[in-house]
Amino acid sequence: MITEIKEPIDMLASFVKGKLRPSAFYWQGKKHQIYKVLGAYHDTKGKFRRYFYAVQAGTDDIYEVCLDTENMQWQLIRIHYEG
Amino acid sequence: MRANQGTRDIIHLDMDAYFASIEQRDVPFYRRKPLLVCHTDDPTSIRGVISSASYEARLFGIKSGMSVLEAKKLCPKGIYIQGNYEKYLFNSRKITEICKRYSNLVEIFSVDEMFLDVTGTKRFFGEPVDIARSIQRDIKKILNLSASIGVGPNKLVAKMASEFKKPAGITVIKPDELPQILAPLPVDDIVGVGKRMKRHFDRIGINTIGDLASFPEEPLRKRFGIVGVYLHRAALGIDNSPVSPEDKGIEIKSFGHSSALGSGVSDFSKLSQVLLGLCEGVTRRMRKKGYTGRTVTLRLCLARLFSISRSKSLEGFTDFTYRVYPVARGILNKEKSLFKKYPATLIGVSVSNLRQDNEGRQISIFDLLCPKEQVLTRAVDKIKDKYGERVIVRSSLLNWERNYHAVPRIELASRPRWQKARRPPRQDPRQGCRRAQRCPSHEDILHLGYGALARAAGCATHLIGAAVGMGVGVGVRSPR
Repeated sequence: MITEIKEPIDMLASFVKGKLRPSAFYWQGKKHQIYKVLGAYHDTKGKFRRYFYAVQAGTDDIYEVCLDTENMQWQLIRIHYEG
Repeated sequence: MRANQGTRDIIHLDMDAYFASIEQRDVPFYRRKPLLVCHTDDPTSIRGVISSASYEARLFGIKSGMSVLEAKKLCPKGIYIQGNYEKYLFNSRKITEICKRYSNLVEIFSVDEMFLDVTGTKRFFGEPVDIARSIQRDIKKILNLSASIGVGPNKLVAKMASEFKKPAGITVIKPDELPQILAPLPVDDIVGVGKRMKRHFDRIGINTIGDLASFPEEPLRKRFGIVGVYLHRAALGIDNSPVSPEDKGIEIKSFGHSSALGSGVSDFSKLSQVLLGLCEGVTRRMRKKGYTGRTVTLRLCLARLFSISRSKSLEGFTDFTYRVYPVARGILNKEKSLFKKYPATLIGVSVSNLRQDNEGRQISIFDLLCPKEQVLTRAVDKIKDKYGERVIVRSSLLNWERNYHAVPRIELASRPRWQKARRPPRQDPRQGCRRAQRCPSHEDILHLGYGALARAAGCATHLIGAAVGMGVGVGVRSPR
């Protein structure tokens, strides 16, 4: 099942060897530690780049998050739930 | 059967269940399950088509291009998700980068297929089969995706070879092996033999590639023209077409956009609205790529039973909506009786008969009569370049993007060109600029999002000035 969220989140991210990687995010008052980044891509909106990640955080659910460099805001796009 | 005796080494790379594999990579609990990537705005509905099916879904008989309705009958418990084409294109670019490590001659055949000519680079990287293994390994390591690869003396054979072992297979076909490998295969395994051609071949007793190869060429030429000659040579494993890298000037033949219309639309004004949005998309891409065109083609699929295609040529070359849309709308108007009876389930518009801007831009009488249209168009282009495609939209199009899903199309001439170039039809010199035809920007109100309006103040002032000067209202849309 997929649930569209599209809400802003606070994100801790690392920059290692020229790559941006999300580490943990805060959503609805709870911290979600990211254990694995499963996929990443970027696109452009106008002249600004957006970075998308599919991450696993704690449970089996998969979170899709996005950094919009136009406003440097992270957003939780959707959640994939099993079952 | 004789084979092409050239000494080329061509690799064909074909990603395995590409879109579905990417989704299964990103969401582990989709793995080993029937997953279907749909081209639709609502995967919970029965609208749209299947873009890609995982191998598990294919066991239910599902194929790409099948309607979602049909797929749900075959696999009701499958996982249906909406496609994310930006993500797939991103991965395709990464795959291209990997291929370019091994050859400078890389041709992007489609979003998930590539040709490489490694004739000149095998001295650096090893035999073609070793290069194929390296590419497979790199794609797996960097992107965690699987590819099947065919190696052969030309593109045709390499492409057929990549189909032999899937997924994650590598098949090498050497020139002297061609006869025994190709001969028993069904004739529709040849690229270019579709259902219609297969029926023709069935009637004359050609069922396998071997049958076609041993058939005399002259009767094929008389019956099918240059296509017959091409297919006969293909059956012999002959294909001299080069691997054409993307920066070597692949010819674009047309620009088009189409939109599925769900269960069907018979209302002329609704179809006109969709058509306007499609014309905007087409001309925007033409301006971005630096092309103008003069032949407008309207395509309608009617009640999912049949489709029609009608064309009309303009007096000059253009890349503006205000020139293309009235022509397309005029064609649509003539087919009113048809879609009243058979609701349109898909509508598409394309502009062909192209010329590049660097060939010189001819100023037509229409451009002289509508200079403000051009100013407005260029101002809107600047805003979209800076803030994205959806920041500004005609008010009449506010709802259509939500309801319909436009698909851009570009026809490429990278395959062997056996079709003769067609001359454009002669124009009736008595046809002039029909001011009675709707010029869309004179009627529409342009909407800007609040945020974009604040940020784009400089550009918007110019835009508003141009719009007001034309008597067009400018409105601000409240944010959602």
